[in-house]
Amino acid sequence: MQYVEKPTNRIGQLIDRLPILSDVLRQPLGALGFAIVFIFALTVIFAPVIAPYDFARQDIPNRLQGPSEQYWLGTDYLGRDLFSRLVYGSRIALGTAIPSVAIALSVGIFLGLIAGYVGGVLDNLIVVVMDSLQAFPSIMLSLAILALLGPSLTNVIIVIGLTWMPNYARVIRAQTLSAREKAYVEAERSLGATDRSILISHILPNVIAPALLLAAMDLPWVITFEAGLSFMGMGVRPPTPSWGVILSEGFNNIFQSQWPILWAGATLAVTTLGFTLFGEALRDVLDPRISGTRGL
Amino acid sequence: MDVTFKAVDLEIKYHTRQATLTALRNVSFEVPRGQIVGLVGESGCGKSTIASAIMRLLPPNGEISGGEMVFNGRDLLQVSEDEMRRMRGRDLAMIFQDPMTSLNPVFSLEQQMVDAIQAHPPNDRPISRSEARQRAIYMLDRVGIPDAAKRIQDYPHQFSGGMRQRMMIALALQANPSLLIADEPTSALDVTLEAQITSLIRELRDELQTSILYITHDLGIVAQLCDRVVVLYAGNVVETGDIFGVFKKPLHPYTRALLRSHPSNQVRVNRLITIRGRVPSLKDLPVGCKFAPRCDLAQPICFDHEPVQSNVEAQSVLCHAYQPGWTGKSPETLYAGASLSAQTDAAERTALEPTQEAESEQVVRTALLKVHYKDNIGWLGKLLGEKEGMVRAVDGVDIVVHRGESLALVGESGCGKTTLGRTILRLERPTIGEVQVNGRDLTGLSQAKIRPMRAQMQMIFQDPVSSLSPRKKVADLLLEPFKIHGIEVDKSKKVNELLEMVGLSSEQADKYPHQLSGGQARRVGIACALALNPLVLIADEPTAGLDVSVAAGILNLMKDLREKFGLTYILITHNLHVISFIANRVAVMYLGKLVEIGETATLFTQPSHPYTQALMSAVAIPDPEQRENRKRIILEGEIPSPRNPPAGCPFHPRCRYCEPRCASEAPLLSECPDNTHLVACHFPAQVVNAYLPG
Amino acid sequence: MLVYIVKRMLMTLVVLLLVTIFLSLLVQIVPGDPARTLLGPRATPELIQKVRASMDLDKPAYVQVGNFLWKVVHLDLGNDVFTGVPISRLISSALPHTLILAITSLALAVLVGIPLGVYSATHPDSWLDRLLALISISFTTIPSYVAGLFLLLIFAVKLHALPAMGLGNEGDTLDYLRHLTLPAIALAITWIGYLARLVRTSLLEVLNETYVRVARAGGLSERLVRYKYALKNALIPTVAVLGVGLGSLMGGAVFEEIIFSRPGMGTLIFNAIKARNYPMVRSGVLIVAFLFIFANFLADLAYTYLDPRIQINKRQD
Repeated sequence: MQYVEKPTNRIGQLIDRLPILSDVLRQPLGALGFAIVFIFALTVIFAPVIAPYDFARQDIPNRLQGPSEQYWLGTDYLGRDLFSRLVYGSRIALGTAIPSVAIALSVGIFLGLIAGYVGGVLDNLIVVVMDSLQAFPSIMLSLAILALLGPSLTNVIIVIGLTWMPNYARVIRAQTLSAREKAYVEAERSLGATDRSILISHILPNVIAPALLLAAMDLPWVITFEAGLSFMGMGVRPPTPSWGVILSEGFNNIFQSQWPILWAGATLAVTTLGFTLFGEALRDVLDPRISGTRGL
Repeated sequence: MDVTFKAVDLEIKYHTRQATLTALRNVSFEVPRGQIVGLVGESGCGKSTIASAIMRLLPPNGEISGGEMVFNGRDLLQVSEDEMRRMRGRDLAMIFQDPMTSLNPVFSLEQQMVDAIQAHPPNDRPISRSEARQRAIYMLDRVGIPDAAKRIQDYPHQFSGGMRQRMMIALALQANPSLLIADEPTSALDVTLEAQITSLIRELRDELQTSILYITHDLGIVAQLCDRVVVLYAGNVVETGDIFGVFKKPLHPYTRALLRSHPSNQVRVNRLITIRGRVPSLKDLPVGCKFAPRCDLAQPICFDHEPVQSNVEAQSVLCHAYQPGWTGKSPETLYAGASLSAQTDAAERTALEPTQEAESEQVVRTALLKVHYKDNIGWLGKLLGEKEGMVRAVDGVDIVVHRGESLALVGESGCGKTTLGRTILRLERPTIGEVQVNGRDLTGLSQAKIRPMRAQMQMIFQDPVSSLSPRKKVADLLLEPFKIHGIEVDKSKKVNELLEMVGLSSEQADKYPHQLSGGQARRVGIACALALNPLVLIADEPTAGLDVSVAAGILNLMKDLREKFGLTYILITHNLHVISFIANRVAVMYLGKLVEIGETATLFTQPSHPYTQALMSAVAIPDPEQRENRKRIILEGEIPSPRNPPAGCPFHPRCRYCEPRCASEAPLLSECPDNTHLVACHFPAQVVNAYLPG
Repeated sequence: MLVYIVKRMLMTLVVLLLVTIFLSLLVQIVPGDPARTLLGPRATPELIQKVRASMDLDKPAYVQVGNFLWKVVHLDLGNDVFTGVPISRLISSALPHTLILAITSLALAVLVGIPLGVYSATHPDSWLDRLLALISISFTTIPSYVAGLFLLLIFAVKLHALPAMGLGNEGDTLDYLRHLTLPAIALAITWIGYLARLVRTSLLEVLNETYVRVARAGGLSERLVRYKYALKNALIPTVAVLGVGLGSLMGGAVFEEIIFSRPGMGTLIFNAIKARNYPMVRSGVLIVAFLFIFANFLADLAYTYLDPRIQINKRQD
């Protein structure tokens, strides 16, 4: 049988990926996580369909009510439907998390690769700057910057991106450093490859996978973080229904009605739990494959 | 016969998520009292499983599903876990393979040893910590740890691998157990260290009369050390018997093939025997005889029925050929001359003849080459009084390699051979001296200028799998050299061509490196290196980590390719058997310097440098009859650190011929008295005479 | 060894320097005039001028940074724009409460989390282990402010069992502790989960190491193997994490302080942010950052001390 160069086949790649999914689903916690993430995704996509009311619609006479037929989870201090607000809140959550992580990841990968591969003074410089950024508890750093820039969705995304970036840079740098020492890098060099081509076609693919996994597993944290900032009033501005805003409003009226806190808190907790469970199951399944000990 | 341990029809299974695998079946063997029994087999045959099983330390998914293990008269399978724990360390002890991970790094030696001794005090009488400490110091001293009383407070990472292995032995034998299981104790060590450790083991056995089950893949060690041997293949015992019997007259086809594929220097052949096919994986065991698919004598019965044990004189064998009614050829006809004690005046070794120096061009040349690594202290360190150390990896090496030659660079860890090889390829920068390849001086050139020349000089890296980029398929890896140098090729055709050249099927092209076996990965590495038709190929430990028969295949391949393409090889290895098969010149290195260089035959028969002598005599030859004959030189001590080489001759602290002059004056590499080769010693004539018989 | 410590100290100093510079430059990114934003409706031209002067806003950036550095080195953080009280006094009255909260939470996390992790690792795949795994993950993922709010809801609002706000009566230690309970637990929850999982993973890894097999093969009792030998190896990296933990807890304390209306660095900074009191924000964050860096440095030293491999280097090659 002769070897023939195969064209890369999208469908083939998809089919290739399915076994991973089934492996993940085989673990009970992973299945639970997947279910939660799936529901979350559906909520994000179909929010206008699922939510019975507009999230800003007020109904003052019925404010601070508990669950009823009309308002499934009850109302907040302005009589807005909690369920609808939570549903739309999922969009805010994802809408801030994904761009933030994307920014953090791209800048982090870039800096980490350079620091790890080039080394020397540039490496020291990048490390020191990253260390300095990480010297602040992330909340403090974000709060301080938001205080200056003024809270808004865009600013939140930028700030979270900036706060998270040093972590990725650090991880990528460590991965690059270890990849650099690997035998195959030297083998490529002995074949005559330039540093740049080694970096791009050999180190990057091997290093990017763990980073992507890390980013996926960071999503729940970022969602939590954004909600926390909003809780303190430094995130998105009302009436945008970030879950953190709902919590904050609930906190201000805690003695009149406990429902907002209960539902918003539960939603946050369950969502982050689901993402984490799914992410971990995914990592457990993918990890050996990444390091290549599976097979045979 | 008084028997310390007896395994009877042992069967061991592993339960994995996908299936239950039978790792060992019908395993029976004995360890007579006071004897050393070698358990030999290639990777995957189950020998480590037996060790764990005897200690009843199988992993949670392992199960001893059948048979008996009789130890000093008791069936270990009937013993309670508590009782078993009491026996571990006291009656049964084990030493493990890798000394670097066998000791707990965060506890001092003293703590670990005292705990062990107090757990199993001599005579079962509880002893105090200070008494235990005394005993620990005594044991450490006994196994050769210098300055034991002081060093007992140190931590494992402060000791070398050889020292750590001695500690393991001390720990294992301190309670004087009846049975010691040694699981590949020297596989991770250098040759001279290996000789030291095996000699130590033998001494201790003589003193304490411990019965030893010595597990290894190295036939040489078995021949040198053991009284009996048990051969394992794919979970079955295929042959057992007295050491002389089995080696002189191996019965089973596998044993015969194993012995015959060993590239020992006793057998001058042109090609090594390899066993076709691969060791079957446990998931995919053949019905019938497990060796049948690879056996040249196989008959239909071998594929249908499992063989039963036959006894032939003092040996027992598991093979249909020894059962009545066998219609095929007798195993004795297989690889006639498989016995290694017989000297074969075999075919000439083509391409191993010394080349005519004057005519051949110089492909590689180094002059006064030094590669020194300085510690990076920085101004801060200097300020605080830290001394700047320097590692003299290569310390003044002149070698010349001519076209068509195969030069072997030999030495143990830290001698600088790998650094030398890499510096020749300019993967390292020379500190002082010159490197010339194919007439061009590479010494001062930048990487950018060297890059186009890389096509001419290639390297085969030590670890076959990790030297291949993990995310690329084999086909992409093979095409990489062409991509890098911008050469247009017909992709499919080239890939098939390269695969065929190294004896791989085209199915391998689509695999990822982690899906290849060690031997396959090695072949891919060779193919990549040869893709651009280099002049010189540097092979770094080409057979490291490979089983005997797989390694034999690689060596044969390298020989064939050399003839076909007129390659020049520089082989970096510590395996002297490999050298004797494929190299025509040998350069011995010690602490960065060349101590002897000359034709292979000369170095093996008339080593003129004390270190070369020690190396040659330390090599374990798979011929038990040579045990008594050969002079065994066991070197004392360990290789000093390349940061701190001794003054004068670097070898003098360990040299048996050392004289005052050696400590102050470093000998130069010069012609030895009979003008056959170069040696760096002050009195080579005396050294050679002391070595030669008569 | 000495070189290593000195090097780390120098690195730390450099980081402290950069942090200070970064914070003093931060005010540059405010759109518009910081002084005007700070004063809000009270802004009169003289006041604006006064505030601008006190914040050095007229001077070029590098002078601002230089002045601030100078002040910091002299431990002079200036006076609060609104109250006139020295900022350092405000900080020194707020800081202890935050520290107490953070340390108590860390202690709780260690005392609960580590034993849970050890149990899980020594009884892997038992039903209790699986249950603990679920609990640990839930604890790790629940945000600390959600935990705080839930605890507040259940124990303070509904059950009236524990107080909802403040520090408690002055001088009354027991009352102080009562008021400390809910916030400390809320803050500790995340770390309980995290430590339990970390210790479980570490210990399991160690238990699979060759030297543990060797100890078993030597006949040492399982108790000795697990709790003396394996545990020390597993706990060493955990200690390193605790330093980071203390710092992150100090940051996370801001939520609990808001939820439980406790005075502390979090409340101080938060209120300063709401009031756009930049000098206060800057100084507050600076102090917290300094403490964070210091905690990390200590953890680093502890790690170096505990792991003999790092301690004694270059003795044997």
